[in-house]
Amino acid sequence: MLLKVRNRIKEIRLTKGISQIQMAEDLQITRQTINAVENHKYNPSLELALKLMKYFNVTIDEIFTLEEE
Amino acid sequence: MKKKWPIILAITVVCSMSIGFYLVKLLVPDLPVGTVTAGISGSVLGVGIAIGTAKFRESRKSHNVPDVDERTWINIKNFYAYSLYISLFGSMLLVCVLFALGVETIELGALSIYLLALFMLLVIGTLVVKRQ
Repeated sequence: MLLKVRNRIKEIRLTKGISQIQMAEDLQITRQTINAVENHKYNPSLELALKLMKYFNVTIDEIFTLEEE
Repeated sequence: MKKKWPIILAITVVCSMSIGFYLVKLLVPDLPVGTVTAGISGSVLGVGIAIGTAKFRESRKSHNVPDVDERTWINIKNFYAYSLYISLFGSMLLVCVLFALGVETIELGALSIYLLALFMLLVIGTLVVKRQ
């Protein structure tokens, strides 16, 4: 059984009206990383995941879910 | 640390240049002045271009987004892991092919050009991976 981490970062970011550049500046990551995470091509590290939770002020299961492929 | 990197780069280049010239002097005692001048000016020009480009890019940058982050380091590490295997197996394959062709000795000059090309490819690859 293959599990895949899905995230709702793009949805939450757009709801809060934050641009990718703004988010990259605030979290000190590159815009390419945001793009890769939003398109489910890269799973962020635990450190970045915690930073994202704090940044958007949401819980972990509101951002990340584990789905079967 | 960020402001000190041009100095570190310059010191590294000067040290490598000195070691290089010392070794060449040992191997070729009567080294032509033109070659030495070309070596020194090429190195200085290379460092100048690298520092100038970096400064120009920094001055044009309008936002505070970093150039590298955790994903970039992972990509670079993966690239080095793959390139290590490719270069090792590639070199072994090349040696086998040359041996099969009847070549029994390799000139140091040819070997140094091969290594130079390998390092250049690694540097170009790192720059490409860094931007992705």
